[in-house]
Amino acid sequence: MAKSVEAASRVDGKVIQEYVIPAKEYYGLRMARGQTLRIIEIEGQQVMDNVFINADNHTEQLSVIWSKSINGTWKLTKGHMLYSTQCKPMVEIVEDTVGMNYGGGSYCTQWSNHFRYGDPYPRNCHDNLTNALAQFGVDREQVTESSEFCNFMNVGYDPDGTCEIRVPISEPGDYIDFKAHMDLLVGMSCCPQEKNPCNNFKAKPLKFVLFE
Amino acid sequence: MAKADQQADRVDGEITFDHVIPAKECYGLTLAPGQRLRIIDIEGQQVMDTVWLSAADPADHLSVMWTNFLNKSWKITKGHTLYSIRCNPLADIVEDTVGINSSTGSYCSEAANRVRFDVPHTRNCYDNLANALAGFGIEKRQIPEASQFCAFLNITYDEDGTHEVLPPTSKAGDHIDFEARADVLVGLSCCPQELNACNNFKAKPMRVMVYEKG
Repeated sequence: MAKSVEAASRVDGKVIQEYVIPAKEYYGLRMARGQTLRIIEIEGQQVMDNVFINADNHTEQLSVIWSKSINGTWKLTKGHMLYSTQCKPMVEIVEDTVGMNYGGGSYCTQWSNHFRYGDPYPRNCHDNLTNALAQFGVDREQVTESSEFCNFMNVGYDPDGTCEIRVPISEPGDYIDFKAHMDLLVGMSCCPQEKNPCNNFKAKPLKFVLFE
Repeated sequence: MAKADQQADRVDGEITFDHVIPAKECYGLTLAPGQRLRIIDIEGQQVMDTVWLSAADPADHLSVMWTNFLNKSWKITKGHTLYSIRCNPLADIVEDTVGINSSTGSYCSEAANRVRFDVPHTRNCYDNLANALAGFGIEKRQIPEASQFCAFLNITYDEDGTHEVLPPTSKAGDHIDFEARADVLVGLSCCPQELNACNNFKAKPMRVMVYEKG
């Protein structure tokens, strides 16, 4: 079957919620254990920053660092479990039609955009993720850099040491599925970055489907 | 003392502090702009976990992720700058006789040792770093995983995705020197890990010196 947003939206289960997050915007939701969250590329080459937090204990967050270490890989994709700061199984990647994500941590911030591009008031993932989770009583300082997993982001770790952001390879209709292994709060930021290849220099919308 | 170690204790400047951190132990100190911190591997193949925070505002702590991105390298070594979460320069690496460090972030913790090795109640860097900085009023929650830079830790990022801890390549007398760019608090943990290759399965002491360039 050809890749399409329509095809990707047909899930094997009962849809609880589906929504298109507009370009540069964000969304926060609560996800029960056993539910699956699908993130769908609409136009392609758009990155989603995700933060996962234990719904019952906000001090326990995703640790991308332990996720890489425990899985023994920095290329986190289908079949990998993402672990918390307590090294507990948090969320599992059960499908991934792209196979390219960034598990290095951190998000674009006001400071980084100012530092890198001289832009004093940019939209950024740090604000988006904080705002997405504020409704659940999550403090900004609990949205730590290592609590963030970046879907479809293409960051090179070359043998010569080069670490750089490259253009995503995701196409319309590509998707990634996360299955919750605990009750979670999820912050999502449709990355607003247009100053580097992260989203191929144009911020675009993304769709999510929550199902069980 | 090995010949190499005698080389390592010769610095270009006046030494204001000189201390051997015993195996598995920790230390906390402050640096003013321009002051240098040298970490010396005494026996070789020993890793030092370091946490860096702005003394003026500890919420502005090291970010290894921004350090990687702003230096455009995941092999952070001599010539690179450690940046904070707000992208402020905290310290420059002015010497590094090994050239292998980890700017991946995080530290061994009780939870991680329990999950990875099924061993409870281990000494770990997370506790060490928190204890090292407690004297400065820093709480555990203020040293997130991203605030930690690991001198001499050898972690691979292979093309096939392999990401694993290998024995360090550091030898007796190898050292790394940081020059502070701001007033900073530094937490040091002589990594107590003996359950993987991190310190080649044996925790050993390390020496630290603070000096001002002559």
